[in-house]
Amino acid sequence: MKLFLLTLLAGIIFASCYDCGPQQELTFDLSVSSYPDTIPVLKKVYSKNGVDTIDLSDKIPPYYIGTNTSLSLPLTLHENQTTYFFEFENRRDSLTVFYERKFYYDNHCGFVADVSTSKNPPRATGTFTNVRVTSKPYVGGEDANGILKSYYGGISVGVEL
Amino acid sequence: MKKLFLLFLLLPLLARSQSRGFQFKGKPAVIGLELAQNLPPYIIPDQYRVRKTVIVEPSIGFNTRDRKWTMITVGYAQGYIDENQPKPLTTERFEGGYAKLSFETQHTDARFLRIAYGPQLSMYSINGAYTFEGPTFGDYTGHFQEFIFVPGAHVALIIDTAIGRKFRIRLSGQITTGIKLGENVKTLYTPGFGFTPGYGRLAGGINGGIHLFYNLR
Repeated sequence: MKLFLLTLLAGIIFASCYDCGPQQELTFDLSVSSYPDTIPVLKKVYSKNGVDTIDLSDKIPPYYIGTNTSLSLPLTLHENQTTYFFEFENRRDSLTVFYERKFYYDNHCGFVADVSTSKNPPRATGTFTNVRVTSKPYVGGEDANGILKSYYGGISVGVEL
Repeated sequence: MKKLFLLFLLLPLLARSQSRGFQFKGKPAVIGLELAQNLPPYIIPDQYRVRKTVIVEPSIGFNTRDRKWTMITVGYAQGYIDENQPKPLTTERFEGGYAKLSFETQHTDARFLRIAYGPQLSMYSINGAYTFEGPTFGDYTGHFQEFIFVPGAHVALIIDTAIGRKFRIRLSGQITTGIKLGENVKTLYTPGFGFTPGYGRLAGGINGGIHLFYNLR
């Protein structure tokens, strides 16, 4: 009986460590840096959905004066890439993030939305000086050794002006 | 392999009943029909998550020995589940059949009370869809199909009330448990086993039933 209760408790604890990801539209973190200069004022951020322009300027953080700022931007679930356009006060840039969508059933979470990192690692291209990408799965499980593979995972893109 | 293992587990149960005199003495004693399973979606639609159910569950019973019965039940179930807690919104349309073998024993002192147990099997298919909200770029909907096989067992407490000489109303409460042997998706409702919250391999729960029986002799 004690063993049973311990197993149950362990199950609850491990279940609570599991990250099911957003289970909706995924987002990636964009970090913009412009060392040693300060970043020019970012006036507009937008994307395209077919011919429609989607204004995402509300994702611009209110305070970003300095040499580094970060935004959280959504990724489309309909394609394996999302393109963004950035209008700074003195320049225009574009950024395309590539990923491979995965929708599957997870025994802890039900259906989950994730990106694949094994076959085709997400990467990004753009008109920025330097584009770096790090990626972890959005859905966190355990590996064969029982160690959590990822927690607070996802795609992060760092760009330099 | 798992299927074989479970069959192996169920075999002693069947064998035991055989040795105890599991034989059908002539004609069947009762025939019955389940009456309650279709009602919850209409009576408590907000609490019950299975919709538009069509469940038909006839059974036939044999009086094998004094105060012992063997009940064979088959069922057909179809219905619909909308699940949006937690995300994503998932809809499942299920259709399938199940079979139960139940060994009933009448209580010596309280003759209206019976205890039953036995193995049961469920096989059903699922046609479903899930929708991930895409506030910015639009929702994404995916579809899935599954065929699920669930071996398991039940234990039931039965209260029988005679209505005249020929009819009998049965109220029963049962605990079911089984293991879902599907490919990927573990569905929330298992015909014959009931609703199971969660996404794991276990099926079953506590559910009730109302049967109407007709005495054949």
